[in-house]
Order: sequence, then C-alpha cells, then structure tokens
Amino acid sequence: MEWGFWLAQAVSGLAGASALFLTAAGLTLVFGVCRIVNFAHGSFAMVGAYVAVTLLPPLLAWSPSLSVFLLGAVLSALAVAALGAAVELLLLRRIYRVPELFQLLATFGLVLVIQDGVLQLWGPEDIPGPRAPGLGHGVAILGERIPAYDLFLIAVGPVVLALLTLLLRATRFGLLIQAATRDREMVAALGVNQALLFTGVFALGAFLAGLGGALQVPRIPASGGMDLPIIAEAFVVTVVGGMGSVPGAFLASVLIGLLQAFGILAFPKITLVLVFLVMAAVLMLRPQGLLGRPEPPARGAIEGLAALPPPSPPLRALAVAAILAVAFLSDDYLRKVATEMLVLAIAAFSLGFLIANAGIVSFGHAAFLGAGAYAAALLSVRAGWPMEAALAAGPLFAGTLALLFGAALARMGGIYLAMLTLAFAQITHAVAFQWVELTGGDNGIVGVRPAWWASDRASYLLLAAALVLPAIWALRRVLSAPFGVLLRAARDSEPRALALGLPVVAMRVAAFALAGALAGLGGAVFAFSRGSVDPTLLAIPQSVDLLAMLLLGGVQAVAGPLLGAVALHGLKDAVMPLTDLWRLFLGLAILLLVLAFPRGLAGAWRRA
Amino acid sequence: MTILLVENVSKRFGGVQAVAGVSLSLAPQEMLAVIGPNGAGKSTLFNLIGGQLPPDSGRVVIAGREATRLPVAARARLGMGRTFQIAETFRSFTAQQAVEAALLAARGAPFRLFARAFGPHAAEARALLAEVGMEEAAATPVSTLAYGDVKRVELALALAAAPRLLLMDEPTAGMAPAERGALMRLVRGLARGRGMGVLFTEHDMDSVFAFADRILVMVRGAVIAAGAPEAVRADPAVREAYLGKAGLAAALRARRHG
Repeated sequence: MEWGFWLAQAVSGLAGASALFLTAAGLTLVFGVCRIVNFAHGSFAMVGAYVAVTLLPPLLAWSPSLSVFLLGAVLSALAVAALGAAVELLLLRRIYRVPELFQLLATFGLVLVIQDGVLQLWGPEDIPGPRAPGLGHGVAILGERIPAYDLFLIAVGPVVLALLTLLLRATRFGLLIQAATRDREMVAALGVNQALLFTGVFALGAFLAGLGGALQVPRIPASGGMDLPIIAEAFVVTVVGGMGSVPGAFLASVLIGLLQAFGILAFPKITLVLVFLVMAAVLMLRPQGLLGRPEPPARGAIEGLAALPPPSPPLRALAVAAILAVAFLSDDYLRKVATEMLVLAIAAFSLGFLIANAGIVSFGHAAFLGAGAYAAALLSVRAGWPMEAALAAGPLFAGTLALLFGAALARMGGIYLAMLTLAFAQITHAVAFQWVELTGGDNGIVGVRPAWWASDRASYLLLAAALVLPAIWALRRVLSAPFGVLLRAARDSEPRALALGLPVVAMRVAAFALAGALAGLGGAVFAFSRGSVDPTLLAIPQSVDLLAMLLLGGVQAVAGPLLGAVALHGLKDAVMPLTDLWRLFLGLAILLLVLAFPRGLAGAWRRA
Repeated sequence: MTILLVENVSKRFGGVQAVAGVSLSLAPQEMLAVIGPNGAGKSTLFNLIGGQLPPDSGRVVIAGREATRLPVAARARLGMGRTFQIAETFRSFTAQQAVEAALLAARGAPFRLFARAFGPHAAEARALLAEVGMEEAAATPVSTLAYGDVKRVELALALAAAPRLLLMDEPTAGMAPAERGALMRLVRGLARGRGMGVLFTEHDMDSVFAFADRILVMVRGAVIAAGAPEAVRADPAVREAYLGKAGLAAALRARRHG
C-alpha cells in the first residue's frame, strides 16, 4: 500500500478524533466538577448536529463563507448549551445526592425523551449537512485526495484543547472548575456559589458536545441513532484518558480515532472489538486512565443496599402453579408472553445479583442476554445443532464472554465499571449489526426452531420454566452461601475484605461470569421462543429496560424483578401500540420515578 | 522471635521523602506505637507495611516470610490483620453475621456456591463478639451501632483471621475519651493472651504512653527515637521535635496513672 493511502487513513481517523474529543472533553469536565456521569451527553451532540443542519443552510444562503459556517456551528453549540443549562436547573440539580445508579438512570430517561423530541422535530430521515465553504474540495497529498474539511477538523481539536486550557488556567471560572475537580467540599466550604458553578460547567459541557456534533455534519449526516454510539465512544475516551482530565481526553480520542481508522484495514468487521481490547489493556496497566489521578474507590453508588433475601417456599409453589395454569389453561399468546417474562425475569434476577450482592452496576447486561441468544440461534440455524445443545451453548458462550470482560475490567470499580459495561454492550451491538455475513446484520437470524417435542407453545413454556426457575432458585441459594455472602461483604467494605485475605477481584469476575451465563440462558430460551434474534436484543435500551425492571419491582422484594418484568412488559404492550411516543413516555416515567422518590427510594434502600 | 521485621524502607512522593530508611521489629505480645507530628510519614509507613503501597527500597518480612511486594490479601494470609482509621466493617450485616462472614473469609473457600454461609461459625462468632465486649449487640445491624461499638466490631472482624500481627491505624480516633482507655486495655489484653504483636499509630498521647511497650518517634519520614515510654519521654530530641509542652504534660499525666 502507498504512503498516501496510510496518510488518508490517518487523516480520517484524526478528524473523527477531533469531534470525539470535543464531546468527551465536555463529559469529563462535567464529571470532574458535578461527579455526574451524563448519559445524555451523546444526545446533546446529536441535538447539536440537528440544530446545525437546520441553521447552516439559511445562514450559508445568506453569506457562503467559512466564518459564517463557523458562526453557525457556534450558534448551534450555544443552543445546546442553553438546553444543557435548562436540564441542569430542572433535573440534575435535584438529584446530585441520590445514588449514582439513579443519576445514570435519570439521564438515560433524558436520552429517551430527547430521542423522541428529535424524531418529532426533524423526522426519521437522516439529514446531511452543508459543506463548509472553502473546505469542500480535496487536497492532493502524496497522490491521495484528502478532504480539506478533515484537515480543518484536525486543527480544531488542538485549538479547542488550547482554548480550554487557557480557560481553565487563566480565568476565575476555570480555576474554580479545577479546584472543584480536586476537592468539591473544600470549594463549597470556601463559599463559592456551587449552584452557579455547576450550571455553568454543565452548560460548557453541553456546548462542547453541541460543537462536536455541529462540526461533524459536513462529514456525517444528522441521524436519530447517533446518540448512543457517540456516548459509548465518549465513555471509552473519558475513562481511558482519565476521568476529569481534558488533556487525557484529547490523548485518548487521538488514540481511539487512529485505532478505528487503521483497525478497519486489519479487521473491517470487528474494529470496535480492537478498540475495546486496547482500552482494556490501557486500563489494566493504568486503572486511573492515561492522565487521570488515582481516586479512592467509588462507594456510595449502592452503599447500604440490602442484598436479595433468601428464597421462600410459598413463592416457588405460586410460580410453578402460575406456569402450569398458563401452560394448560390459556392460549398461545399468553404462553408466549409467559415464556418471555421468564426470560426477562432471569435476566433481571442475574442483574439484581450483580448490583445488590457484588456491587457491580452494569449498564450493559443485555449484551449477555443477546450473546446467549445469538450463540443459540447461530449454532441451531447455521451449524445445525439440535435445540438441546444450542440451549446449553447459549449460557456457556455468554458466561465465557462475561468472564473475559470481567477479567479485563472487574478491578475498575463503581461508576467506571458501569460506563465500561455500557461501552461493551454498544460494541457487542455494533458487532451484531455490522458483521452481516455471520449475524445477518439488522435482519438478524430467522428460523430458530425448537425441537419437535417442544415445538408447541405449551411444551416450550414448560421447558423454559424447567430451565429458568431452577436457575433462579439456584442463584438464590448462592446468595446465602459463602460466595454470595462474601461478595456482599466485599461490596460493603473492600479494604476489610482484602485485609481478611479475600481474593476480591477474582470473586467479582466469577460473579460477572455467573450473572452473564444466567442472562445467556435467558437469551437462548428467548431465541427459540421468538424464532429469531436481532441486534435490538443486545442494544443499550434493552439493558436499561432490565435496570428499570429492577427499580420498578424493587431490588429487595423476593418477587421484585419478576413484578418489574410484568409491569414493564405490560406497560410497553399497552403503550407502544397506542402511540409512537413510547420512548417519550418511558423516559418521562423514569425521570418521574427518580425525581419523585430521590430520597424515598434511596432512603428505603438504606433503611433495609 | 519476630513477627514483623521492617528493614530500611523508604518511599518518596515527587519531591517529598515521606518515609526515609525506617527499620523496626515487633515481637509477639508486644505493643509498639508509632508516633510523630502530622506529616511525619506514619500513614505512609503503615501503608508500606500493610501492602497498600510498594516501598521504593527496603524490605518487609512478616512471620519470617518475605512480603515486601505481596498484595494485601496475601499478607493477610501470612497472619497480618488490620483495623482502619475509619472503621471498615460489613455494614449491611448484623454484628453476628459480619463476624461469621469474616470467619468464612479467613477460613478460605470463598467460591463455595451452595453451602450455608451462616450457622457453621455461629458459636465462634459469638465468642469473638464476647471477647471484644459486644455479645449484647450480636443481632444488631452494624449500620445502627454507635461508632465506638463499630470499632469494637471491627476489631472482632480483624481477630476472626486469628492474626499474629495486628496493624491498628489510630485505634481510638473518633471515640469518646472514656472509651479510649477501655479499648486500649482490651487490645493489650488480646495481644498478651493471643501472643499477637500490635503495631499502632495514635494521636492520643495518654493511650500511647499508658499502653505501648515501646514507642517509635518519626519526624519528617525518619525515626528520631525509639524505646520504652520512659526513655522516649526523657529523650530531649523528642521533647523538642515532637512533644512540645502539651505532649509533655500528657506524658507526665499518663505516668501518674500508669
């Protein structure tokens, strides 16, 4: 290959890195000061892109010059900054003291609301942006035609880094940001108006996200699905760069941008896997990220949360009776719904185990549900395995995947691990989506049929129950066995657990593998029930559904996840056919849940 | 016999020499206090011995085994126990369950998936709680105990591993003055009865001079004096560098009731 070709590849990677850096810098600044991980940060970038494609054409029609283009981009970013400030004032301000899990969930509610808002305002079609005047041409370098706009974007990254550095070093606002990043309590004690500082930082973060989105539009059209990939990449960049460090974010985005540009040559289908592996390698060597400072282990996310209680015999009898009644006395529709609820229940239970006992908050648990489903479906349809073997392979594959993920990243604690689980889930989703030859891409895999003896809905429901219920009961036994109890002890106090000689990280990896395998069992059961699998099964919204079930049902109630599964499933069945706005409603419901019971839920959790 | 041997350990953070060539040894049953003004390097020394930080040079030997580079959990398995400046306990359990969990942890087999966790060690847990004077609180959730009691439960958790060496970082910090003497008396009794060496840092000079067998005085990372309380008290360098007037008064007070 030619030098020019390599250069073109590098330029493309670095141009993407610039936009990524802008977005990630905003995320990392906000986290540094407010200690909030804003799930909706990618949504801000998306809004920036949409505002830009709306604002730029009339502006450029008025005066087609580069300065007007830049003005348009900055105006778009300012609009997003205003949105950010509104979000901070109306929502985040109320939830700074609730557990991190709820904060993340609330900002995810925001993601859903913004998704539907964008859909309503701009429609479902992708909207390409105008070219930047004066930068629409290509520049010939080493025989390759390099887009001039890419070269411009490459310059934007260091310029913004310089401006941000200046802002942080030379202004009072910037010094306050730095001080608050180091020691929030001290800054508050010194009488700084924290409310104003937080709103300002959040608006600045939103501005940067909006600018990143707006400057991307000549390269990438504005689209309704761009928010989650952006946030997943931004999470990776901020964690790899070191949370709170702007130069770290710059370094990491250049690293990730180049990896993607060159990785696509070596492994076109699994570039993202490469990104993930590099991230894991960096974090194994430097858990605090490239330029981050080591932090005390994050606690508070779930501190004081009671663990799942031990099993109760009457409930088992009730569950068995309900399954038998549905299998023998109802219709096929209810049997299918009951089967799917079993699937969701084991996925939610295994997630509840991770959260409540191991203290690991996973925002990507659906990745393991999906991995089990894909493994079973692929082995059944493509390799011709019998159903029984494919059902066994699902949990094995998902458990192995969870084991590898955990082994790479379980030493990261709390919010970092939560962000990385999200990035991991996004990557598995991208693999399922892009590796069309194997996974069927968007269409997924169809024609996943159960064996003859389980092919009617009633038999399959009984089979599903025979697999899932004992697994749930076994998991409940584990909770009151040494493994479960000591996991919870290590969740309560890692220093104490280590001082007693417990191999804490290994135990967390094992917990991850166990929960992943159980979710994978659910996925395999689901594949044969639905008859097909597709990428939505392992997408992030599915992961958040599982979390919402746990919260709806209550983590401690014996039947909590099951009730939550029923409630959410029912809600979706009832709301989705009636309206296109189900994301809006679900998002608002999540926001209300967190806003209405910030202390209620947290307090109830603490008391127990 | 020596349960802990520290040879010439040093640790530097950037331009600050936090610990500069400190050596010490600790025998079973012995109570050794490390004192010094703020910033003297006590916490760093503790973290070098405890395994939270690796030393730049020097070595740490626990129960005759080289431990300089061992992680915390491995040191625990050599017989090192620890209490923390802010008590580290299992807050979501009752006192009894917490001690049972600690016993489970100390006996190994953390990966047993289906055995019963609570029950097999119940009697032993009750005995440990009685040993620290907390048998009344067995059924009380740790999260609702008064802080002085939490510190006692933490001590029981540390004892569950039957340590031969106990590191105590500010054992009486946050306790009422009346509780301090009782806790230190308890610790000394445990050290004598169990043949356990205790290394502790402490700000409360009354506790130090009344209960330590030997005292090590650190200033700016280095040991400036070491010896029996009487000798340390009389050492002019210590008087000047550390005790000052207030400390000296405390030392004299402690001698009166000792």
